[in-house]
Formats: sequence, C-alpha cells, structure tokens
Amino acid sequence: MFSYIAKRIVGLVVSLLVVSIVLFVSLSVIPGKASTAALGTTPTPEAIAAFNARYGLDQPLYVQYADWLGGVLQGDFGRSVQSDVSISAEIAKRFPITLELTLLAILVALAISVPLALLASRRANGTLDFALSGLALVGLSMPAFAVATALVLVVSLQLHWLPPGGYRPLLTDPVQNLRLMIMPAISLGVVSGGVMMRIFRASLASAMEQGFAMISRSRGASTGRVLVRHAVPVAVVPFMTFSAMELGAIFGGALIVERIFQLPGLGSLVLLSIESRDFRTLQAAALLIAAFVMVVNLLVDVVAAWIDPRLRRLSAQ
Amino acid sequence: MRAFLGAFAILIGLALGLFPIMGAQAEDAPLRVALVDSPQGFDPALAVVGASHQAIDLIFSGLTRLDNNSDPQPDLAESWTTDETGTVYTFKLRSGVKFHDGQPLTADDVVFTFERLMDPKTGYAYATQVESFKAVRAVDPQTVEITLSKPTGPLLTFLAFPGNFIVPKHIGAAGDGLTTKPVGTGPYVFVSYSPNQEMILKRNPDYYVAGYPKLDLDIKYIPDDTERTNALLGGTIDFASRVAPKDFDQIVGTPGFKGSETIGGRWYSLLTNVEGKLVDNPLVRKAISFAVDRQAMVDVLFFGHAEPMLGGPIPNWSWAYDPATDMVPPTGDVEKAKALLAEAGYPNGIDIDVTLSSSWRNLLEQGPLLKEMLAKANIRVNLLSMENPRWVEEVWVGGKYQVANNYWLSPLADPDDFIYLSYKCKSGMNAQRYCNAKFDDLVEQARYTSDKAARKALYTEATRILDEELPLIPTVNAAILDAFSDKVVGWEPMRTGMYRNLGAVSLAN
Repeated sequence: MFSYIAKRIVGLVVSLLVVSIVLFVSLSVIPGKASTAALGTTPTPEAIAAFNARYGLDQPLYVQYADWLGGVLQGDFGRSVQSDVSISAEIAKRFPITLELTLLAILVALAISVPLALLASRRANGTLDFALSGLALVGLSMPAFAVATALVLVVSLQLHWLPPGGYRPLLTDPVQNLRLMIMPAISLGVVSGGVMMRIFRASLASAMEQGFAMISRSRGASTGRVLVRHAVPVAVVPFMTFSAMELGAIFGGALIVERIFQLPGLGSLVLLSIESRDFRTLQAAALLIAAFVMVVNLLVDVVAAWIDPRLRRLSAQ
Repeated sequence: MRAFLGAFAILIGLALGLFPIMGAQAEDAPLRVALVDSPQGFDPALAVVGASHQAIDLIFSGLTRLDNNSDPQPDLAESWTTDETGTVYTFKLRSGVKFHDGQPLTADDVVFTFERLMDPKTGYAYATQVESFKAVRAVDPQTVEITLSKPTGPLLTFLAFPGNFIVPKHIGAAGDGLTTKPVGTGPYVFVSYSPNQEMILKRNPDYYVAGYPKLDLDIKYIPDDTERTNALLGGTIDFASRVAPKDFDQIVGTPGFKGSETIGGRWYSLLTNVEGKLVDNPLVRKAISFAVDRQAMVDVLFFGHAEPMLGGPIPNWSWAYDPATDMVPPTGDVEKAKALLAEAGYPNGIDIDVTLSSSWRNLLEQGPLLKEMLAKANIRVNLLSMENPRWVEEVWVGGKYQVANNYWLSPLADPDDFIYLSYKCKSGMNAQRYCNAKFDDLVEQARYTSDKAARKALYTEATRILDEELPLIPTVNAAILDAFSDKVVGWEPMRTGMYRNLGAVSLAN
C-alpha cells in the first residue's frame, strides 16, 4: 500500500511539471503582450522596457521558466502583471471560494445522482429507469452557463428569491454566503449530477447481474435489499473514481459560472488573467486547479484501493 | 425543459422559504453602485485608464471641477484672476480644506502636484496638458500662481481632469503610496479596494460642502452588461452605470426602476490607417464615410440612444460645434460613395479588412452591420476579430490594419479633447498615423488661445481639413445611459461620464 501511494505521488509531481511546461510554452505563444494589456494603447518604449524588466519578461523563455520554478518551489508565484499584487496572496484569497463552490456543487451532484440511480436501478430498463435516465440526460446535456442564466432569470429576476450574483465571505455572513452560493452550485451540480447518475446506474445494473446478486435474489432477498447490501458496495468504487474526475469538470465549469455570478474565485481570476495576458497568475491558478484535481483523484484511488484490494494488486503489476 | 426548470425553481424557492426575503435596507445604508471596469491604480499622475480616473474623481479634487455641462467651476480654488497677457493665473485656495488624513491643504501641495506632473521622470501620460506650464509658485499658503509659456484656452478645463487633481505633498513625496492608498480632499474617503471586485468609500466628514455627499458608496465592478443589468433588476445594487442600450428601455419600463440619458463625450469612430493599403487614399476613406448609414447604426445598435455624427469629432452640443462642417447625410449616400470610389480608380469596388476587438462587445457587434452597409457601395468587407491585447498590438502599436473601429469617452468633453488627441501627428491616440502640419498648427493655435470665439473659428477650419481628408470617420455619439432603482433621488448625469454627482444622491424609503 505504501509503495503504491509513493509511486502515485511521484507520478503526480511529474504530471504537474509537465503541465507547467506545457502551460508556460503555450501561453507564451499567444499573441498579445502583457505590457500592452497593462499599459494601455500608448505606452512609451521606456515604459514597456521598464515593465518587462520589472516582471522578468525581457528574459529568454527558459530563464523565465527556471526563475518561475525556483520561486514556486519556495511557495512564491511572483507578482501579478495586472494588479502588481502577490499572486500567492491573491490565490490564497480566492481558492477557498472556488473550493466551497466545488464542494457544494459535488454535494448537489451527489444529492441528485445517488437517489435517482438507486430509484432507477430497482428495475433496470423499467419505465421509471427510462424516465430518470432521460432526465439525467437532460441535466448532463445542459451547459452549466445555460443553467446559470436560466436560474438567474427565473429565481432572481422573476421570483426575487435569491440575489443574481455577488459574494459575502462564509465566516462573516454565512447565511448570505449560502444564498449567493446556491445558484452557482446548482448550475454546476446539475450537469455533473446527470453524468454521475448514469454512471452509478450503469455500475449498479451490472452489479445486479453478477452471480452473487443473482444468488442472493434466488434465495428470496428483495430487490432493494440486494441493491443496498450487494450491488452498492461493488458499484461505489467506480462511482467514487468517476465523481473525483467530475471535480475537474466542475472546476472547468466554474470558470464561466463564477463570472456569471460575480464570485471572486479562481475561475474568474483565470478569465481575467487571460484578458490581461497575466500569464503568471493564469499559470499559478491553472496549476493549482490541476494539482487539486490530481490530489483528489489520488485520495479517491487510495480509498478505493483500500476498499478493494484487487486494485492494489492490479496497479502493482 | 421549461417546465423542468420552473419546477426546479419552485423547489429551490420552497427550500429558501427559510431565508428572509431580500430587499430591506438599513437606515444608513450605503448607495450600492455598479461600475464597469476596475481601476488600475489611484495615483492621479500615474493612472492611465478611465476606470482609475473615475475613482480619482471621487476621492481627490482639482483646482476646478466641471459642471454637468462640462463648464469649469471653482473647486479647491475658490476664485482666480488672470493677468492681461493670459499667461499668469493666480488661484485663491478654499480655506479650511483638509486631506483625508487630517493634514491641511496648502499651496505647497498644489505646487508639488504640478511640478510632479511637469517632471518628465514622472511619466505623466497626459503631459501635453501641462506642456505650457512654465512655473508654479506658492505666493502664500492659500495662494498659487501658475505661469504659462503661452495663453492656454482649455487650462481651467484641464485643471478639472482627474490626472491633474491635487495630491498631498507629505505622501506623494515619499513614494508611490497613492497608487494603492489614495488620500485626497475629495467628497469620498477611500476605505478599501479589491481589484475586479469592489471599492468601499465613506463620506468625507470634512468635505467643504456641508452634508455632501449624502451617502457612503459601495462600488461593485461588473464588466458584463447583462450581469450589471441583472444585478440592478435583482436588487443587489441601487445604481448601474453604463447600461447597455439593448437593456435600457427594458429597465426603464420595469416598475421600480428609472434611467438617465445624456449625450456627452462618448463617441464612436472608424479608424482608417492612412498608411494602409487602399485606405491611404483620402477618396477611399471618404467613400467609406459616405457608405456608412449612421442612422441605421443608431437605430439597430444603440436602440435610438445615440446621435449620428455628420462631420468632425466635435459633438453638436459643444460650444465649438459648427453645423457648417457637417458633410454626410445621416443615412449616408451610397451613390456618392460609389462615385468617390470610381474617382479613386476603383469603379468595381474594393475589398478591405475591418479589424475588430472581440473583447468589446459594443465594437464587435458593429461588424455585421458595417459589412452590410459598405457592401451596398461595392466595398466588400472582410471582418477580422481578435482578443483585445492582440488587437491593440495590431491596430495601435503595429499599424497592421486597414480599417478598425473604436470608441472613446472624453473625460473633459472639451473640443480640444475631441480633436487634439485623436488627430495630432504622433499623438498617442492617433492610431490612424495621420500627420498634417497645417492641421496640427490650427489645433495647436486653438489650444493656446484664450478667446472662445477665436478658438471656435480655428476648430471649424481644422474640421474642414478633416472633412476632406477623413483620417478617422466619426460615426455616432452614444448617450451615456445609467439606470437605477426609483428609490434613488437626486441623480444628475454628467457629459464627462464621471460619477461625482452621486454625492447628491439619497435613497427614499
């Protein structure tokens, strides 16, 4: 088990390095310079030179990367070329917001997918199954921004139940914080919930067809009992793994959804950074998101391996 | 699908029945305002973007201020006198004015402010406004004397530009602290700022007008038009600035909301690269101008909330506007455009690229209409669009374009501001790369003349040159549209698009 985790951590670090290099190179070839975005339409050549020198943008790319990596290893992501604030501080301020949104969205997704999948699996290919799977298809086919826009139109502008956007810190104003988070979390959660429902349903259905489930039923156990006692423990492992991968999708969706609801999280920071060609900030945010998704996947895999020893043996080969 | 969403909304609503319904505001609540773009620095001398000037205008004060009609009025200077040559101005400062940190405003602060702006090392982006400043001297703690190298017509207007606002010497001399922690003498005291998010301002208790401003300001920065509109309609803000024309009528038609509309210095244009292929020919540029149906732009893109610009860049409400310089009919003249093209040697029409910035929706959405309008005159448009940083590099920096479009909001709404920056040879805003010595001479003279009538004659003459050469094609002057809850009382819009008048606003119950 220990060597399994160690191997995975090494893999994670290598993946992050690769991600950082790919990001660094691909961002540097996008047309449009940071100095243009920061200094407006009419900067003097001296101002541009001073700007580039201040942020090390006058160095060759590999030197820039080495400097950047050196800083990152010491926990310093440098300064934002757009607002001149410390990127680490900016991200520390924004990450909890995106984290809260993501956790709430996953909760919404679980609240949708688990009960619906269980209901649908009571009779595979029955009417209820078709209806619920169809509903899930609707959910997963809707882009998060469309759900977000529809929610704002109906809930905020027609019914006036929730504010259409904004942010209050969780610790200073928890009630208002949750009221502002509900719609973004639902926008993201509905989409993932649809996908996760279908995955869970499929895993449950295949578990129900396996020998142990069949035997249990032939002994007279009710469908519900077989489902909960035998199918769920088997189906939960792939479901967990898949849900962890959905986190990545939720983070991706958060880019747009945070913007729509004016949540000052990582997603809106990424968009702002692209517009202002603030690639150091973008790089840091993207890397953090990648690291987060990878760590969660690692944790889920470890838990799965702990639940199901076969996986450990499989990956050790 | 709709039923599903409706059912969904009802479920959420039921769940939220627990929570108090939003709306009720406390007695001493701040005015919640949504502005568009986030400031980048608050130091008057170093700020380059309009969003910074908007904020500086609330926190700092100048020697003069502009009234709603853009005429200069006393602000920190209570009164002033000019000598007979028009080159020596003596300003009497208002007494008892304090900076937000409690230090008194003195003539030394004024001298420091202008000497800093005049110093090339400061890198003041609007240095041409203080180009004619020869010396600034403190006569006594309450009196400042500005000596000019030549009479400067728009001086009192320039002094009302946020870049020229007075900064405290005791802070400014110590470094660039004002960039992040502005300390001024203006109506609002800076409390906090989160970039791209919000700025909190409190009333200045020592402001020289008693009881002004009436409310604290809680400013949110919401760049997206629809989100700003939604925030207003959803009740999270009281006042939305720069509402999109498409939303304005809808908001004003919604019970509980009102709007204000004023034509000011927010004008749109087509930039024509005078060094670009085909458009280097003035006849081609003129043909493009005649092919543009400005009235259609007003109706389709601005939903009527704009006015066609038929001649030069000076808008029709300005004292320097001369109707005799108008030359294009509001709906354009396709036949004339074709004739001009034929005269230029292109009887079968031309193909041109129009380069658009996709980051500005109001500019991008002009593309299809332009293409359709110009096609009628056999000008076949190929639309190119790109993100703003790249667009700026191709159009402004690199000059790699034929035609682009642009808009600008003049913070001074003075004729000089419209005509000088956009056309003068090598001016930072002259993306068309136009250079005409005679024109430069005229606008230079107009800037450095005190007499208004003489200035107007010079602007008219300069505009006639522009009408012939069209290095830039003014299209429409768009109304400055703001919308607010009907609890907002006392708001009057300004032609400069600034928001200092928010100080007069109170919230009715």
